[in-house]
Amino acid sequence: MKKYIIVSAFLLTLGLFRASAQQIDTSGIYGERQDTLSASVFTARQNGNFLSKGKDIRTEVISAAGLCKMACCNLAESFENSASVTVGYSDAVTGARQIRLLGQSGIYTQMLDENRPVMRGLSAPWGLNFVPSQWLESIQIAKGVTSVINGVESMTGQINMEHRKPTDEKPLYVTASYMDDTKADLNIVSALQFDELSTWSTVMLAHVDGNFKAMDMNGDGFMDDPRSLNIALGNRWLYYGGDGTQVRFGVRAISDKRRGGQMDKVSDNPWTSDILNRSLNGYVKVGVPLNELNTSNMAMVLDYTYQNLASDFGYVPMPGMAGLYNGSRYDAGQHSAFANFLYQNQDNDDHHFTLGLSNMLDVYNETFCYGIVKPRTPSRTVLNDLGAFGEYTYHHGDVFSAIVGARLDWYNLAGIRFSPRVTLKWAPSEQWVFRANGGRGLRYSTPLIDNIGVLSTGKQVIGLTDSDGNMIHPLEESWTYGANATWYLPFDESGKTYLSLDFFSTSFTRQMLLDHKMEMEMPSGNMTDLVRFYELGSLVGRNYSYTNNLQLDFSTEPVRGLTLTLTGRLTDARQTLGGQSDDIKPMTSLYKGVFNAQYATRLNKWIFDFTASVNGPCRVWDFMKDLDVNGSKLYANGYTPVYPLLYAQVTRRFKGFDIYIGGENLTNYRQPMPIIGAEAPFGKGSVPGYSGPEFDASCVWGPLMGIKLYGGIRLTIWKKE
Amino acid sequence: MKKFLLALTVAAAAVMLLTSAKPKDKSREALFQTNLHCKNCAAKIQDNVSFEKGVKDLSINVDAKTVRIVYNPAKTDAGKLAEAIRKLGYTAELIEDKSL
Repeated sequence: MKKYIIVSAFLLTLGLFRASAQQIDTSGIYGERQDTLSASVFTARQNGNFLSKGKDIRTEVISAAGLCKMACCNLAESFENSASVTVGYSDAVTGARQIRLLGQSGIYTQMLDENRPVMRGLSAPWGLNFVPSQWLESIQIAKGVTSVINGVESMTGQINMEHRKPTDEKPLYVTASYMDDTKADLNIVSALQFDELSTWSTVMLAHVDGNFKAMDMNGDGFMDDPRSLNIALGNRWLYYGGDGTQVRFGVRAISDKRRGGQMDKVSDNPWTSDILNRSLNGYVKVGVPLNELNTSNMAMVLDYTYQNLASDFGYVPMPGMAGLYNGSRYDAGQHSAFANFLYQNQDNDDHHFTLGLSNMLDVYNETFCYGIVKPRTPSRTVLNDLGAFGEYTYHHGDVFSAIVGARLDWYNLAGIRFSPRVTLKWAPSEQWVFRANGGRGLRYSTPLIDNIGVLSTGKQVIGLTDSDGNMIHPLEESWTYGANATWYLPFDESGKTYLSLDFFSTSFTRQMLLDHKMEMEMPSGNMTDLVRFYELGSLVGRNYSYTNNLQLDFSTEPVRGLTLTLTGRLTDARQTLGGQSDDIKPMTSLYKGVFNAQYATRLNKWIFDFTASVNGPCRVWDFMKDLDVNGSKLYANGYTPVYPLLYAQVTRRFKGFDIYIGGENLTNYRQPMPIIGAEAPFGKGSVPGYSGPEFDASCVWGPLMGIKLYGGIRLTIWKKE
Repeated sequence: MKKFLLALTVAAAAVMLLTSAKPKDKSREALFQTNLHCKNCAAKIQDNVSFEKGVKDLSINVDAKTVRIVYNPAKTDAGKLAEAIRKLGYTAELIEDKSL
């Protein structure tokens, strides 16, 4: 801890007295309109995934072209070309997806919607499924600690989504796709401008997707993917005044219903999970220039979200026991309000500072029932973070920039915290860019939501509530440091050929941990499986939780139209867990490699995409080492196997519309036995003579489904004269 | 699996060979000065003019606000191409029109 403070102080001093800065990317809050940013030369084809050369922080961009490389029905499916972000299932029942960045769970990555924090709390487990990819214009993945302007919940990085803009001259954009597993997807986006100068403009967004037929390709009696119906509607407005004033506001509503679990035909009384998510969001952003040259301005962001979750997992009345239920049930509502007030000043090109106040309020009403219990009354938790912040940017031409930021936050359950952050960038020549950043991250944990997969187990869950039965929400704290070097190879003046190496390290000083453990049940003396939550530092001896990540990226365009990218990542993640024999963090892949090739013919009339990835082994939980299939142990060495994934897509473009066909998981690799104890989901005692492991669908590390083929169409109507 | 990779490689190589060939000598190149001002404008022109009859290649310089089009004179001419750009709401002044 001490060394981190010393390093931070050093970096702060360095930044304050030697640094030179660069403009902070606040265009989403206030600044130039996206459509007026000058782009040097519009290349005939947009790169799909690339590292941004101009950003201070190491930022990977997935462009609209990148979002069209695969089926990419929603955000969860948009990261397959990226080694930085790994997407996996939370469990084998609900279809909830989670990302991993820098070897840590996605809950430590701040998700932003045009610089507004989103997907927090209840919406985190399914939030990736709720963002239709075709609503997006681009995604930016920033590694390490980022700006303090939106809080310090970004511990390992930040993913910002840019939606399609009201100023897009596309009155109608429609996409539809269908997969052979009966998953269908429809998006309609309409952007309208109401006058010549686009003073007022709006974009309407509609989405519906569904998985209409349950499949059980591995024959374990459980659906591979839940049946689901997801509907999302959004409307965004932009007012752009002649004096530079900008007002952006919008609303979004989501309803997502899904049923997973056992196939109906398996049993008269199948184990099922029913989940209903509903959400309503509204926001307004205002930016006002304070002088004619717009060198100082004020901005305000207000955002409100209500999220409601009703979920049950094998929750059925106990026969012959009136008023008692078995299974688990989690019902919750969350009111989230975010307010951010900023003052920005840039009197000259070298110096730029931002001062602000923000408040993030979350009110949870939660009911969690587990095991054989009577329905409980909801517990109410108020989590508030009131903060003041400042960020200074020094910019010395294109050669050097530094951003020094700090926040002072008052957390209603944890007191006052100070969070410094520093970002440095040095570009000594056109060919080289060096970056470094570091700082503190803080967030209130929501242990059950952060580990929603534990609801899909038949194990006892301990440590989620206090002595009064209320859900606990400790503050988590981390320090992240990292550096990046990018070499743009001199033979390619377009800058499309580069080699990038980065290293990032995240270390937690406070964290909620999840552990699996076998414990003696008293007074019966039987061994029972437990899922236990506890805070880092609860164990005797030295406690630690950290990850180190090394990543190499190479991209090139050897001939016009052909883009090749190759990425590799190594992860060393360690945690002290009382129930495990090793400190290697369970269920975290040790490495990943991705190769992507795209070829587009002249005028982009044909586009061919091919992606291959190799996914490294994960250490499994200790209790998984004993699992066997037909007498042979599944994880004899304590690790999952290495597996490849292949994706391919062909797109044919016509005037006004594109059609595409493709395939996912072409190697047809599937995780063996994704559901442990599938024969007895209601508990060991529910099946006479059953002596296998306890039911657990939360240990997912690989694909749940085999080859999937799909086809789709994109229709674009451009605004005419 | 090997067959699949082989087929994919052969298909990609064939497409590259077929499409990366230089335009034939009879092609012409027209350069237009326009009033486009952003990447979205460029995308709009790219997505529409690329599919005009006779267009063989197209590139846009946003800074210079120019559109370069390689076309087959047997199928279209610079006037028709300028009109296609104007239909999208932009000006189109022919700066140069030459044989390749």
